Amino acid sequence: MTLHVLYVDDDADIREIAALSLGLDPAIAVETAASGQAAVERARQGGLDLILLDVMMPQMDGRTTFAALQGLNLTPPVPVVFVTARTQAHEIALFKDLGAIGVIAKPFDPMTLARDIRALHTAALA
Amino acid sequence: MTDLGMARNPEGDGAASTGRDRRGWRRGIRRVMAIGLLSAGIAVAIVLAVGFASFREFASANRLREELLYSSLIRDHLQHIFEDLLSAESGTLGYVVTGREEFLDPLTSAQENVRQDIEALSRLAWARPEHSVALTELSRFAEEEIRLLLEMAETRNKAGGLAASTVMEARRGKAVMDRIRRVVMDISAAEVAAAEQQTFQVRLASQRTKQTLLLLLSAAIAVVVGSTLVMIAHLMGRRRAEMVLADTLGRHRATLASAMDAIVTVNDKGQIETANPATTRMFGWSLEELAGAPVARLFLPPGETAARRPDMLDQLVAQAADGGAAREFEGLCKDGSPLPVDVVVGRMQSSDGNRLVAIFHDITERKRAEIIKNEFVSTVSHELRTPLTSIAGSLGLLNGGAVGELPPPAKRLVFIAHENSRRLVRLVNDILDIQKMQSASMTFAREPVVMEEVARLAIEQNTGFAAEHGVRLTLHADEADTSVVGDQDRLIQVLTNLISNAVKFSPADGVVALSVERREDVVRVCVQDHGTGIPESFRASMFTRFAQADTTDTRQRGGTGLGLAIVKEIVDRHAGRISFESEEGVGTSFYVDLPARLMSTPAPRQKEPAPVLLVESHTASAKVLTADLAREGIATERAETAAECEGRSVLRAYRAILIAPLLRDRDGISLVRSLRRTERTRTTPLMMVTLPLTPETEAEAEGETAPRPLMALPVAGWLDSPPERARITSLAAGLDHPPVLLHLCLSGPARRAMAEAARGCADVIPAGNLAEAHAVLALRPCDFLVVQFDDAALSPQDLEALVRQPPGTLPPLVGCSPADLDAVQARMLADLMAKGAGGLAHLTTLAEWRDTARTGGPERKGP
Repeated sequence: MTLHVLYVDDDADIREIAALSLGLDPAIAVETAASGQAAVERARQGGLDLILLDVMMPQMDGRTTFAALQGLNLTPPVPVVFVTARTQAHEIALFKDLGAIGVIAKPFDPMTLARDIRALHTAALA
Repeated sequence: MTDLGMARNPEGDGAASTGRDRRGWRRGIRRVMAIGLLSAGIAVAIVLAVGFASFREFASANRLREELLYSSLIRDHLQHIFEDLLSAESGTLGYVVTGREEFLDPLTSAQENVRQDIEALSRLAWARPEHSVALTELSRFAEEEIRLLLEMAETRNKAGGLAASTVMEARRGKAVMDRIRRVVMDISAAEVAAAEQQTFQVRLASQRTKQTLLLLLSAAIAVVVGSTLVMIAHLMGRRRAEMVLADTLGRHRATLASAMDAIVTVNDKGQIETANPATTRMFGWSLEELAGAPVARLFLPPGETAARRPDMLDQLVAQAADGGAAREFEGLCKDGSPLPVDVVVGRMQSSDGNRLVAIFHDITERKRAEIIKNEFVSTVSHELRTPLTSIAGSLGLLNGGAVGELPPPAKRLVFIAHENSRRLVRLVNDILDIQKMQSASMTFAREPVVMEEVARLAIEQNTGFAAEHGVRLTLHADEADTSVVGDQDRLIQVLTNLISNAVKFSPADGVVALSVERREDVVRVCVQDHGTGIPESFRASMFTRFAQADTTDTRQRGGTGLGLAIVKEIVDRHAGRISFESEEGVGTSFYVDLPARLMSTPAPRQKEPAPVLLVESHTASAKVLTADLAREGIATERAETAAECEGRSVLRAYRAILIAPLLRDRDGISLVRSLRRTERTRTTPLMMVTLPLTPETEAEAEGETAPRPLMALPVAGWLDSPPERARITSLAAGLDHPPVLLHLCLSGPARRAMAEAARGCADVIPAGNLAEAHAVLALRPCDFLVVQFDDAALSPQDLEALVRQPPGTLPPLVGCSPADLDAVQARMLADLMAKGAGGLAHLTTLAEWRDTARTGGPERKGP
């Protein structure tokens, strides 16, 4: 079954690389969004299985976007994985406390990104 | 008055050298006094000796005079006798020849005179036993002579001149007179000889006395001259010392005047005695205003309440006792502005009491630079990571063949670029880590961690990396309990760094062996390899940053040179120790020793209720509170700092934790947050307590019945602003229903944020003031009163009234404010609480909390 993933990041290069690396897994369908607003808009339309959310974004940052996504009350709720360049232990704990299913540190390994998020998704479903 | 503890000063510091000078000076004084006393003694002895000699001289002269007088008396009497007898003889002869009666007058007077002289001689003769025979003879001869003369005169008278001439011619009188002459001459000669002898003796003695006197006089002069010289030398020495002292004082004054740092001396009452001009420049107070002022005036007290200031002296004294090394304080200027300072404290002993010398160094610039540096490093790291993500990602995809096979030379180049981009990522991570650790901005969790599990996870994470190098990882663990208290992720980082080093320096097909063992109070993890070993020359600098045995290592092994520095930092922060053994060509073993977690003793069935943990840095307040709780039958343990509280609360369960809003190392609010995040204390009842004491009220407060400025405020938790859903959910722990939050808040956005965060997991009822809140409570029960502390619109009167509510009238309080403002909020809370005085009422509700602690939440109140 194809996993519909939305990758949200304000950096176009990173979006492209993320799309490429996730695309290595034929069972993942990748879409990207360049801002929190765009991500919320896309999520509202439905059909997503997982959202990868960059933390540091201008205007609407990852946490705000996350709150807005939760505010959509999607059914079923779409699990979120934060992607962050700040990887302090307490920040990771904070993101998990917020309700994220996982945190991926930047820079990520493009060859294993797909495998990592698939593992997180499976764990969250279980 | 405070004991400034000078006696405990073992170091050769300034105070000690002053003491040495003083001791030397005292020794000098003692020496001069001894010399003075000695010379005075000698002078007295000389005077006595001179007196004695003179007296003896005088006495012997007297004796001689008496002797001579005596002798001349004896000789006078003898002469008189002899002359009287001669006159009597001549007279009697005249009478015999002339027959004229008047020639008998000398005989008549001689009879009386000789008798008297003989008597006088007999009286004088007692001291002249040698003359007694001669005198007796003289007396007999004189009597015989007189008798002969009388007989001759009688004969003349009776028988006429011829008969008398016959008698005369018999020459009997001449013979007697010859004898008398001889006796008189003998005695006189003896007397003269004796007198001459005595005179000679006396002259000799007098000469000796003169010599003695001369000697003594010379000695006296020598002593006087000697002691005068010594005293002059001492006085000159003292004068010189005074000049040196004056010079030194002048130099010190000039140094003090031109010093950039504020330097003050403080007496044992905590008052400033002297201050240098820099003090005025730094703090704005004039020197006159500072003289006699409490030193606490220069410090921004925690909470800014005057009540907490006086313990500054105690703090400084304690700092001085610890060696006085620089400690950071928040100073306070005259205009009320804070001034970050480093304070160095020294002790000073002087004749009129002990003092402290405090040196204040303005660190505003350093602080600013630190903040800029931290921000810079953080920003740079983040900004570096974004392009790095693209670079490493692109290279990773190319290298991984994601976009098709590359020609071999290009593949090699991409491989090199990819490896180096990964190294750059590690470097950025390591720099950021070490910067955070060293600026102490990295918080470490303090939770029970099983080291065996840590080792297993570390091996799991590194198996792939080891396999790339053809190295196998093994683990051997003790059966024993290997738990420690610490941050699991950081401890994994320690082992990961050690394993990665071990792997990099191991030969292919090598083994890196991990072992975990319990050694009494220590858990030891060993990472052992059979690699190249550490060169002797490198061992000393192993744990410093960017230290690598060989610069080519960086390139060949792909390390950042920060790994071991990070390892050491993390181990240090866990109160642990890192060590190693290495032999070149044989291998290396790294040992990480961490304090083992001490398990709380198994609880007996009929056990005492758990004690209350009081977190209070102020010793006097803690003492009074502990005594108060003891009177209520509640046992208390004390933690001085937030860190100690976190440590203790991991090790054992507490009935409740009482927290002072302002602690030495952190603020009470951030402590509340961290206690609520930790599993063990997630539901432990928490209470904010303040007991501001001044030295005046301190003694009073220790009395049992004295009214206390005690304020206690039960706090169920503290939410971030804007609040997080997860934290709101965690408030529900122990409740069998979604929590009902009464949100005391006026600001619209804050209300919306709360409503949004709580949607689906809690009911929120907003209230704009305390009256509204009471109205809500009259209608329906609420589980928590959430107070939006950062809401500027909230009335200060409401907040004051809030802390004054009797226990039980309001649901447990949950604060809400941004985490980065905790210190500010804590100060505000402390001020607020200082205005209320709830006494023991809240504290005594602890007895009821015993049950709620068991169920994990407060009971629902209301109709």
